[in-house]
Amino acid sequence: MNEQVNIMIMVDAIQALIDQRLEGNCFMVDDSRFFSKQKGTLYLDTQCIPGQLIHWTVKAVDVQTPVSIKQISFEPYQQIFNTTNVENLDALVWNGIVPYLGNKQATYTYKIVLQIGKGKKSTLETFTPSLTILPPY
Amino acid sequence: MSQQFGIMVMIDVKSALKTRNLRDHAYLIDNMKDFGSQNEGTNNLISKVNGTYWANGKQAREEVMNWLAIDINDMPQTVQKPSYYTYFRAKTIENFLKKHLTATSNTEQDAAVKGKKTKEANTQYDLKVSQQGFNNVLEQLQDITNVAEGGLKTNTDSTKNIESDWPLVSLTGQLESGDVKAIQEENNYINLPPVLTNITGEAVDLGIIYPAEYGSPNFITRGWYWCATVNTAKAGKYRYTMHITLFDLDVKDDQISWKPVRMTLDSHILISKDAMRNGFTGAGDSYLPIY
Repeated sequence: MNEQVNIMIMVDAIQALIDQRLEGNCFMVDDSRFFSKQKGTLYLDTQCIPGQLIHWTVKAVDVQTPVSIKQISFEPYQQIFNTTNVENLDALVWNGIVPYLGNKQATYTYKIVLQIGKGKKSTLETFTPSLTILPPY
Repeated sequence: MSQQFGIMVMIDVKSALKTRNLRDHAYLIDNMKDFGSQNEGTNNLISKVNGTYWANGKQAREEVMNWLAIDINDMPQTVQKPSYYTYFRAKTIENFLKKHLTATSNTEQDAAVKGKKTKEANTQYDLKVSQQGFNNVLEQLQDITNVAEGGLKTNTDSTKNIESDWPLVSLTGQLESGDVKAIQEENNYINLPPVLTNITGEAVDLGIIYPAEYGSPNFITRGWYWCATVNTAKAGKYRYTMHITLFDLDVKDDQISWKPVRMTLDSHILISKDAMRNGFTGAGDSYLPIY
């Protein structure tokens, strides 16, 4: 059963810009059927199995404010594609297949960088969400 | 996904009516400057939309645009609202019906009269009171309807003068009283706000934007405003035409009415085209970068 898992990030863009941080102004939920933890917070731990497609989307709570995903990276693993100079972030689709990594359960935290509007202080990041890859059986 | 787009159409209504020329007295502003909109604050706005498409050529994302027309010397529209909104808030339907439909007379005198009468008479009396309560409800509902009907009724084909319940207000925000003819000659009144009645043109004909009127709390236009979804898969610059009705004060025998003056204004949207690609790989879909 390799159905897609959707992770949605909802952002209160104006408050996030005022506070200059995502914590408390950003809410992550998913539709995984393996009972993800900490839904509705930045500490979302998505439970998934190898072979599933994970799809991240972002939405601003106030539809008139601009928010895009600038980067998602699993550090310390290297980024394959550098998104720093991408002009139109709306043309990026953030999805990937969960790899097979043996029969152990493992949790990987990842970094999300959001672009809210433009300018000097418009990119905000968080290191708190994670993916837990369950054994494939 | 980026934000919904808003386009404000600011119109110097008095000058536009005087010269019968909308183009030279309109100022368009949108919130897409970041994306590359050109000529903000002029009558030659080119709104930029970042378009996206999938590898098979299909449209990837949809954008939404909203239009609002305002008069430069318009009164702040919120001043109209409070009585209307607090009315609903203060009186929930339940309280409202309870008050009127269970109405029985509470005065001692009535109670005394009621106590002395036969059972039949009492029933008659109750019926009368509830009928009264029912009439009260109808009356109140009529009030609400009257308030809700206060907005401007107009469409592109209308040439009939309209009458407004709103009183004349001077340019400094004072209620006008006295000789209407003099007020008209002094030109010291605020016109009814401009109303956007349709969006047509090349962009609509070619299926680039799909405009429609939507319900909203915008009191002035009777709760309707124009909105469109944008087909972002077709790059290029497209023209569209806004149909705007202005209202000119018409005084006949001291009776005020507003003559609709229909005008059009052209504007453009510019759609760019970007292929969708995977944020992790920069190309097609693959495994997550975990190993």
